[in-house]
Amino acid sequence: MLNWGLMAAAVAVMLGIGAMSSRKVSDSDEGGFLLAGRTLGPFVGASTIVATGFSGWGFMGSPGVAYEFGAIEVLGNFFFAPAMMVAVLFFASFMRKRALKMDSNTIPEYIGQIHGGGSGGRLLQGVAALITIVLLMVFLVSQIKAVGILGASWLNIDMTTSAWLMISVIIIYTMWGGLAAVAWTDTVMVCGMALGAVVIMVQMFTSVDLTEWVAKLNAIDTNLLNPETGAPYGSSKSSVFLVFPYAFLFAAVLPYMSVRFLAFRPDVKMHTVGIYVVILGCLLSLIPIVGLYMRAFGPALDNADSAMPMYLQTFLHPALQGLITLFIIFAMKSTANSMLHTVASATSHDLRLALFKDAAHDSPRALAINRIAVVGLGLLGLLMMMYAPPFMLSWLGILGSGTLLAAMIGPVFISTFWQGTVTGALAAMLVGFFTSGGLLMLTDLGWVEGPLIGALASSVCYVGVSLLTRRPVLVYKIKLS
Amino acid sequence: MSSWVLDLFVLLNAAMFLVASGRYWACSRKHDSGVGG
Repeated sequence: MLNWGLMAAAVAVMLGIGAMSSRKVSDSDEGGFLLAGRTLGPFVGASTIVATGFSGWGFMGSPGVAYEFGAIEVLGNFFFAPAMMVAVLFFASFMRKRALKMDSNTIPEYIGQIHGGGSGGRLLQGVAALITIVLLMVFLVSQIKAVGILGASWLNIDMTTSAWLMISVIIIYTMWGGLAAVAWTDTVMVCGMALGAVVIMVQMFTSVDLTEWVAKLNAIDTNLLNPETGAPYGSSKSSVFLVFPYAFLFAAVLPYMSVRFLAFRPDVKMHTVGIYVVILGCLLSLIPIVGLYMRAFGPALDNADSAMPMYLQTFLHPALQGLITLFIIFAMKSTANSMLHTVASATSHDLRLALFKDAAHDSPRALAINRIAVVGLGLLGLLMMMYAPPFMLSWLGILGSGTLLAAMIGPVFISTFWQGTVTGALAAMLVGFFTSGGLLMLTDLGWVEGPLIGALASSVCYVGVSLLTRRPVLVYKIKLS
Repeated sequence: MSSWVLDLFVLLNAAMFLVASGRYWACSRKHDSGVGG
């Protein structure tokens, strides 16, 4: 009953924010829906970046990995915080300035415009949108499933009903207020997540003696605190450090992360945003320590993934347990709503503009299409969760966000500083996609190494092919002059 | 803490705060002096 009350209050707040943020949406400018009218302040911007970057994985999966493999997961998961900070402090403002100049409303549009626009730009916009839709749709499905499973046990209902309930709320407020609704709800949710982290840390660190904790872990296995290998990140200890460049590219290049850089108010200083990112990122990166606590003091677990639920059940008051489960649901929702918004805008805005040269934009019709896409793709995500063959979802899941960042590094990241050609960008996207995807599917390389090699191949291809295909353009220019 | 991983975790956290606050300080100063930021 308490959980239903919490859920009802949370839904009311989310829908209230959706209604309030709909004021940012305007009929005459698609940027209102797609980019919150470029009105995000430093705290809201930082919150939505951190909330989207730290998904439910940080609360559910990561403590399980820490339970099984030890402290190395605490370090591995932590790298996302400094990576987001570096992306915000040293990359975001460059991207924001260029996007503002070109009036880009989405990342695929930014890719198209930065490479000169026209028919080549539209081709790039279409390909980038297609890759984004295919790779992010499966993540959306997995987030819907995860939030559905957790919500089902929390509210004591069946999984499908729970998934319907959770995704319906996301669909309504995202459709209503676009990115502004996503960013503002993310802000509320990240505050909840940070509060949850503080409560958990206070409980753990006040209940035990640190030396006893260390001694207990060492008695179980000395590898838990002083690992000899980098498992589960790789065989060498140094492989855990690869998470940092991966996480940087994750924050700077992935369309559902970097689109936030475009949505800041033009006068917002990124060094202020950086401070908020660091504080929130630091708090959330402490969560996997729960795995170490459970290993030392909790009951033995058959399944490491239940480390967090068992911790909540064993060590916290039922009321706090309910509240923190809500915050974990928030963590999953804040990632799901960003993916839904990105996939929907890639479909309704980017694919439409790529396919139809004279498609309507900045009009009431375009806004209606954007809203319909949110509803349609949200429902499609639900149907895929219920009916899509699991092998298809796991096949796409393996390709995942790593492959998306490998495909996007050239056209999004390198192009911001050094502009390549349309052919270079197209080749880089395809090479990144197939190299990372191929390595992940056909070899034993880990989820960090495959995409990083793919990103390297894609970058080399972007620069190399651009240099090779640039000459005819120069000749053409000389002829013109 | 007798764990190289956790020692590194604490050190890197401190470094992260140092970089962010250093950048904040440098950019605010630049901005205050009218150089732009």
